Amino acid sequence: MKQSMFLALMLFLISLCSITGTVYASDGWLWVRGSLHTHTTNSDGDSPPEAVADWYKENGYQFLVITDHETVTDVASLDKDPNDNFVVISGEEVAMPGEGAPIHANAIGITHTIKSPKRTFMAGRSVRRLVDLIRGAGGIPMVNHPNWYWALNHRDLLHIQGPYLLEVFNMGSDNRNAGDYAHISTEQMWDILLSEGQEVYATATDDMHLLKKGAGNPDGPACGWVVARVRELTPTAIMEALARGDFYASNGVEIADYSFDGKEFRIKVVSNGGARPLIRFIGKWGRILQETEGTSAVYRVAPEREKDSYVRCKVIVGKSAAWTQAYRLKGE
Amino acid sequence: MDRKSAIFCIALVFAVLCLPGTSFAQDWIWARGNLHTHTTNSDGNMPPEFVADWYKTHGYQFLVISDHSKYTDVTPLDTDPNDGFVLIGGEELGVRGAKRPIHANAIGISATIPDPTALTRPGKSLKNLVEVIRKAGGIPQVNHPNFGWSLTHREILEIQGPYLMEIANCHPAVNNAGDYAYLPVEQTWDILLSNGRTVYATATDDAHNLNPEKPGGAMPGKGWIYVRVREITPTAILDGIRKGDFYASTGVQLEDFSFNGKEFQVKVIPKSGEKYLIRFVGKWGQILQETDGTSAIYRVKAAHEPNAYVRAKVICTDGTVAWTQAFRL
Repeated sequence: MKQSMFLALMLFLISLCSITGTVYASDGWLWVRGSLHTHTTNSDGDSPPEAVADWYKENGYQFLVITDHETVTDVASLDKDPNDNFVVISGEEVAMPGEGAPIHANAIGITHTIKSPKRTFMAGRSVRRLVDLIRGAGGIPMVNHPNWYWALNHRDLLHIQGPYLLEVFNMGSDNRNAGDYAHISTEQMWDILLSEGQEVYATATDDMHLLKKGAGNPDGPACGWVVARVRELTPTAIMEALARGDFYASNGVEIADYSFDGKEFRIKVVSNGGARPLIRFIGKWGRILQETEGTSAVYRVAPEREKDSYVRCKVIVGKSAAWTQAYRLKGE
Repeated sequence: MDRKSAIFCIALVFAVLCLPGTSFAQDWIWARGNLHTHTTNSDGNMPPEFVADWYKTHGYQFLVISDHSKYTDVTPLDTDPNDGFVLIGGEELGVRGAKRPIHANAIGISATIPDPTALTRPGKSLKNLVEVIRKAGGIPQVNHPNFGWSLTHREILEIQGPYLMEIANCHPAVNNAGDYAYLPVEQTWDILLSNGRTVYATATDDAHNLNPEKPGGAMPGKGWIYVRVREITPTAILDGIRKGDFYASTGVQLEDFSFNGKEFQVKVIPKSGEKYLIRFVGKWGQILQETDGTSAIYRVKAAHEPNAYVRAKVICTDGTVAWTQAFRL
């Protein structure tokens, strides 16, 4: 090989490695798609656990958390093949009986049923108690559908200490995510919590009850999911990614890769050949910091900033979106 | 009367005079009106006379009739000058040839303004539409920006204020709350304010259906404004609207609100059995303070950014709300 050809080849290889997205791939990172809120016939779902697990496995998912009401569904029998590129994680959706709007939280990764705690007078104290109970049982807490029956507002949620997962985008048929004149949208609620300094990781979920409705139909499967960054496809690796907030939420948009190094937030979207993506960077109090049309964008952090500042990214393609978690900006 | 009781009496008189609210002592009133109304002159289902009568007999002091692309003559509807109810001429203009519905009301006009033709971009078309309305002497109101997802904050930013914008158009098909891909209209308003625009928020009925036998759809009595006026005349009402001296409501009534540069005071006229939350909102929609109760005071912090403002939103447990305009700091 001539020296010039060798140099050209080296340059080509180096440029390949510098394309955003390939960095992590070469580091051995995987993006894995999962459902965090799923019901079966062990509570009020319409299909048995086997059918539910099979459906997600065959429809582009790498993991599934089964979260029946008030009971842990045994997942060992559902996850027999360790080499099928699909893992099932056990969980439970825990309610709080008593007067008032329903307060629900998922306990992700627990192996024994948590008994529903009684709620106290205040919704905020009740949900804090529920989250603490889930943590005590070794689960990752996810506060579910805060706007369902207007159960929990931002003031209630401020009683909880982070980090925790918040179901900002529950895709069930009665989620009320958008809010109304009197109620803040769940996305704005999330921004308020972040702006108050809380570590809250946003999730999108199916809250799947009716497998038979088919993909993309409210209460059916594949309406909302998370995509987590892991080094290997194991329950432990997935739980670790969820616990550190290393995932994004989506109801249809796929992100190739994103990273934040404290100065630059870089993101690359997987184009579906349809509508042109709008990449929006969002800061404290939901402020729009930058909007870029296209399949990739870079946001450079402004030098001066307030306490509890952050940047998060939302990618909009047609009527669907993906939401990254928020990255904190270091104070001056 | 001895000297002691005389002093007491004087002190008492002073104390009464100093009570909050009494200094405003009824030399003005809040006039309630709907800014967006259709009749059989466009796609409304009741004739102008019926529509005017409905509002007159349902606690309103004024009504703007805004038929699509057509001025409805209001002079024959406003026969009694002493009935405490006035009509104001208007029109809902569209943009001919636009891909999505770009609509704006012209408030206070007396002849039809022809709809302008679409320009290269929706933002440009909107800007032209607002200018056409201003040139004809009307007060422009940008209607239902989320209807057909026609106008985003980026497009509306192309207009210079002051203008009115419907943040609570109560027609059921206009997507005020937004969705996963689109912002709520209230957030759009905060973005416009945070960029220094003078935008006055309105709530309107966009009433099309006043047929009492077929309830449903865009019915009257859902969203309105209260304008501060000294007399119920079209001129006084238009002046109040033009200078933003009004608040928008879907059912919450305020006794008064005021801002003196340092303190923002709000006082609610409560409905029995309901509770209230008073929220003060600042730049980019930041929640500055929330107070439970029927009155609240927000005190401005010393340092603030350019284009900072404070506005109040009052939320009732029955789901109705009121929005004051934003005051600049």
